[in-house]
Amino acid sequence: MSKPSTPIEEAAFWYACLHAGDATERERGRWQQWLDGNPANQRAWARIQEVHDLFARVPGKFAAPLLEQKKVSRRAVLRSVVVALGAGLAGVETYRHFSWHEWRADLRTAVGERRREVLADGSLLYLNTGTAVDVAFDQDERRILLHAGEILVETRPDNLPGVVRPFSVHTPHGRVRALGTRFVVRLYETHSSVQVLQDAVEIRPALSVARPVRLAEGQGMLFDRHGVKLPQPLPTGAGAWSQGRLSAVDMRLQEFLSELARYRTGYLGCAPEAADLRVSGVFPLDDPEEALNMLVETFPVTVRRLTRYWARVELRDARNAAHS
Amino acid sequence: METTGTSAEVCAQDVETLYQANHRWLSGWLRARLGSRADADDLAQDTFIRVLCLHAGKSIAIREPKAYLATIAGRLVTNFYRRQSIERAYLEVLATLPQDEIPSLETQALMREALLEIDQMLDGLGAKVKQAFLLAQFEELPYAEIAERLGVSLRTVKYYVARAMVHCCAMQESS
Repeated sequence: MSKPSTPIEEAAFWYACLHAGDATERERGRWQQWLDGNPANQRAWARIQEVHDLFARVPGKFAAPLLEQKKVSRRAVLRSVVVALGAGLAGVETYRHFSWHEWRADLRTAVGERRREVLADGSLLYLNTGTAVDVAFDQDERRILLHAGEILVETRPDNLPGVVRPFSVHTPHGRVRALGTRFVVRLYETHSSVQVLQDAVEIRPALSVARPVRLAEGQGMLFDRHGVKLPQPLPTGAGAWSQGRLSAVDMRLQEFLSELARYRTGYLGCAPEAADLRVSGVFPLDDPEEALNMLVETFPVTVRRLTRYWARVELRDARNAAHS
Repeated sequence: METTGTSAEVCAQDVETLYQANHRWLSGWLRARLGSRADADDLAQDTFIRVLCLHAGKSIAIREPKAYLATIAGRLVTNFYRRQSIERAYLEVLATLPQDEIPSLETQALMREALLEIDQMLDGLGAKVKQAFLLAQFEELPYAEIAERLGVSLRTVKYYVARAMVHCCAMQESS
């Protein structure tokens, strides 16, 4: 910045001087002189100020993705989320010395409830809404039986000296074996789904004689008793429910509401003419009514309630309803 | 942009010819890269709009239309993925906020837009300049501290910030 020439370059130079944190009164005075000296300088300063204001609209903690060069790796993002999560888990170590022997528990959550459990080996188990599992650890293996709902598992290395007991989640459709540390398993009526948030898992459908299928970090897969479907990249915010969030990117309203309905007792429907609205954002799961309010504030929709247990999201003015 | 009526017409016609001859091919080319038909159609459209803007007022003589379109479309594909990954990363950060700090959807949308706009503005800046600038704007660190973190002098940090500002103004003007 030896010889600033254009007004923009000069303005940028002044901007840097004044924001450095060491500006003196004398410098401010000289800046003021520069500014008053020429309308072109004032225009240039206004443009610099515009850029400055744009940055001010985004809180600092959201800057991280910008620092990544051309490609933001999903791995890195996940890792940072994992680190944030890990910070809250300092107490885990103390559980290590609990008797792990034949430790068995039946865990359940009601609709709208979520729960975090530290297992006997220090592994973490998150139960999503409406979930039922048995935890069956014995001498040879660590097994979780998923009977309903959805869980997120975060395994810890086995604490039994000299032995590594495999860790697996069983559903009626097959077995998911942990090769890594963080994954989600969800049970549907006709199939199960797995999402790998970190490292990898191995899936073996119940009636399949083929070799188990390996699923890598950042991928999701559906399977039933007979086989697996093709792996898919994880949707945004996979596993975010364990932190009480539902995140959506361009999600159809209908799909969004059926997801939200899991956390809420009663019927939550979507009018067909509103079904294709696109929802993006992060919503609180602990308060589905608040999530509905957020929708109403942003979209031209309204929530029609007949009883406490029946609600339907509709376009605010059905007469103007345009099918798009 | 100063253009006469006739040359603009000529230009639009050239692009139309280019469009007619290559639109299907380009859509297919994009679909192979994006996987989604709708996204591919959108970007194909954007590609031709790009061509139209680049050649406003000038007649086009393109020897290798497919290579030319693929270059422009390829850049748009990169932007598309970049945009998506920024949005995703942004939502992941949002998802870690405590319940009562989750902003309204409208604020979320404004922040996302600002973030994407900022990302575009920063395109083409060197890594160090960008890092210094982001530390200054987002962390609001005194420049002396930024200098220490980056292992450069205070003077250099000021120079980086000023250069980034000039770059941002130029990028904003061109968009």
